[in-house]
Amino acid sequence: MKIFDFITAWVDGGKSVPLDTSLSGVREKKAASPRRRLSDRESFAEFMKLYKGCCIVICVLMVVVLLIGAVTLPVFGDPGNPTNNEVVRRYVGSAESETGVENVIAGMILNYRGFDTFGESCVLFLAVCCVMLLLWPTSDRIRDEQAEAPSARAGHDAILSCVCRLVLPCVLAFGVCILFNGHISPGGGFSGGSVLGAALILFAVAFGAEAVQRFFTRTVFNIVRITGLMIYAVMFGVYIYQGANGIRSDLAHYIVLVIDIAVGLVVMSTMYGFYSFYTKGDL
Amino acid sequence: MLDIIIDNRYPITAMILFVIGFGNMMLQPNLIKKVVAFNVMDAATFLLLASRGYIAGRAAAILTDGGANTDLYVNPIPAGLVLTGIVVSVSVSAFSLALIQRIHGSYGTVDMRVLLAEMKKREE
Amino acid sequence: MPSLAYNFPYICIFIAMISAILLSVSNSAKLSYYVTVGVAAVCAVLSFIFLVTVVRDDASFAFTMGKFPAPFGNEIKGGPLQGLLAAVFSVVMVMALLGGKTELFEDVDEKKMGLACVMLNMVLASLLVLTYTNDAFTAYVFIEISTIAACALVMIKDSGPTLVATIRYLFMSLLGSGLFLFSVIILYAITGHLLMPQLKESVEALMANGNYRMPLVLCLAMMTAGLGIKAAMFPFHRWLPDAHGTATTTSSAVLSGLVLKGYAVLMILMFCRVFTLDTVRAFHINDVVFTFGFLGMIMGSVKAIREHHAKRMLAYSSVAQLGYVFMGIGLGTEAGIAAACFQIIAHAFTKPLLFISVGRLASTTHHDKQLSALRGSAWNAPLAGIGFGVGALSMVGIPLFGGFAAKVNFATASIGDTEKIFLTLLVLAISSVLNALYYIPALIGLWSDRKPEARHAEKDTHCAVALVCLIAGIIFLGVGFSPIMDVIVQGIRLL
Repeated sequence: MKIFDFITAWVDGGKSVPLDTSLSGVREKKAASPRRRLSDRESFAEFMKLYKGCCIVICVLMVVVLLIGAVTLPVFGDPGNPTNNEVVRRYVGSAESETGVENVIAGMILNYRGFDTFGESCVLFLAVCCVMLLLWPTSDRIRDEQAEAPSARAGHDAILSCVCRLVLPCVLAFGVCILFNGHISPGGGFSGGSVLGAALILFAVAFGAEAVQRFFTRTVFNIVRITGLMIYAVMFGVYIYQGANGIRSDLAHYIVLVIDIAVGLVVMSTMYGFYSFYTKGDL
Repeated sequence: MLDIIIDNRYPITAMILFVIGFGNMMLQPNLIKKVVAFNVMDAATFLLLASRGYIAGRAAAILTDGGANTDLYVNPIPAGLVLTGIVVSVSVSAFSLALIQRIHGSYGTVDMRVLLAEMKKREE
Repeated sequence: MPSLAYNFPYICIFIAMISAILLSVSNSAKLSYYVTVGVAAVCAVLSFIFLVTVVRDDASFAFTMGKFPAPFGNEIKGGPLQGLLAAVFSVVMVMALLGGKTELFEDVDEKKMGLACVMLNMVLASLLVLTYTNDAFTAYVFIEISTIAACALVMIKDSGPTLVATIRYLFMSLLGSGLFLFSVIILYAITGHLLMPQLKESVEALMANGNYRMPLVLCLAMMTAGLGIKAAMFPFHRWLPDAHGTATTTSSAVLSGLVLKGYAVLMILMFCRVFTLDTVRAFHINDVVFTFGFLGMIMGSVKAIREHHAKRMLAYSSVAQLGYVFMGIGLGTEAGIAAACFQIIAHAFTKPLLFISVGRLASTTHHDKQLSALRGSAWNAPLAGIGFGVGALSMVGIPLFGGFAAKVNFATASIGDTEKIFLTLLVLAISSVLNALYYIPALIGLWSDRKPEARHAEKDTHCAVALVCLIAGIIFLGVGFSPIMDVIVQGIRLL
């Protein structure tokens, strides 16, 4: 049985090492352990020094290598660059007939490369979920730093609320305009959604979060977020199924507008969600 | 020499910014500064990407003639990729800032060295 | 019209993502948990059917994500290798969920269980996409998804140390994905493509005519470094023990067993499908990867020997095991990559088994995971003790277990390479001894020194099922590894 004790002491730094050991390794390890801990802290400081040195060396090397790389890259603004190939010509030349858009970028990100953009919307969605995971008070953890929520002070600033009354309709109109015209002019779901989200945040700052809560409760937040993403997921899922299996359909022609609006909803609720969770940890 | 630098001003700026962001991200002990450094790094990436799409003398890729003449417009692909990158960077910044807020709530500091020392102490 | 089974990869991805979206509003912890298990199980079944179909047809095919084929639209590409990896990832996901159930419900606030399940589903979806992708930029987007979701999995336990571990993990991952994005952009700048088949053509053309040599080296190096950071390649592994050691059992199992593998698989795809192995060898990037893998195998084990906390020990052991994978990639031959793939599969079964066993054993010691506290606990939870034994023996490389087959594969893969055969065999021997130096004593410790007063573990059917399945998987890998190797070799040929 004794050998087991030695071995267990070796592996778990056990506190009950028999002292009459003939296996010197065990005793050394036991004896060395307090010393090792001290030197651990020192070695940590030393490691930090080494780490800093390494980082600086790596950065200097990187900048040199990258600059050499930079000057050997294709020339800026040259029409003959490798990037200006048949893909670009296809996008620009056929976007209107194939996807029904004039804004080629919207057509590209929502139709040709729509799966990437779906992933991107999911990144936003995940980020807001993470913020909720972190800042949403749990049942047993009542957070004192949230007790004095900044929203308590909001809504008493006469200048802000007055200006807000003037500006807010314009911001909303602008946001809706670029959201709905994303396929024919600069703009689209991401920009329109962030303008609308900014409008909501402005509203909350000027009139207090309670004012927003009258129409944008947690249920509405969830519904908007989920509906937006689900529209995207289901429509694009069907579209992929049709496209990959060679089923004829006209889905490609209106998918951009619908998905643009869906993305706008997601971005808007995400932006306001960030603000709201940061300021008071809840919606 | 100067010609080369002027011709490649965008990639050169992007590379330098990238290394500034990269280095700061590794060296800064302050967590908030790390987030800023990360954003600098991403901005460098977007600058490089956006500069790849430009073609001298052409307009943005909003079609005015139905795409009949493809030589009128710049490359739309980098613009789309930059959009994706920006969204990712916003999301990650939001996540890390929320995390830092919680860490500050639990430990009262945003200094990585202090946090690491704290973790070491707890381990022992 | 292709057969229905060819749609399964995309269906799996969408099922996982849609269920993640819907679960974010779920109020019921139980419902979210079982939906997540169900989704992973469905993915496993579909991937398996897909695998059987492609192996039978001896085919790999590109699946357009939309109406437009490459180089215009997004694509995924499925073949035997991808099908096998997807099936393994989904199965291990189910097992990790089942095995860590009790601890998951203890560690995660009931209100937040839905959100935790969102992260688990998203991790699965991103792993599937990283395995199937045929598009470099899609890979970047899903790398970010898996980064965020994996960090969230570390912090769902919501204690101080996990938050600090998460932020370290997050910042390291961001460096990695920043490098990856930068290299994708340089690649785009010199080739004008983002889809892998066209990238490969362009890279081959560039190699032939010698243009843009410097940017090509740069982006190959940056991509290797970026994915290496994310997959805890040796010098960049310091974030890993904290993240994997402090998280809840399910998270540790998923992170160690699966998420790290996703990046290694992506690296393999990038090397084989974009840069081609000839280019990688021409620029000696594979030698760098080999060296780091080599060092990782030794240093990871040395660190693990000095560790007295069971989960941190397992986390350091992951660094060592990932070293094997990088060593296989670093051989720069198809045989080496096949061995690396087998190691990915073997480790994907073994590490979750070890984490689940430790989690179960620790439930008898009030969640004290110091090895000294765990001593003798195997008597109170015999199945977990056996599970740890099988996992440990597999890691050490005892015949009949999966780890042994993996080591044999590495040894045979290195035979063609006159320069590296000596180093490979040497490091395999050293690393086996080092593995034995911490796994065997830990195993003996668990089974010795029975404490009669200690409480017995409560009955846990879910955990038992997971342990039995994982043990069976490891033994199957160890005994019947040749059909799996055949599938892998076929998959690499068709990649």
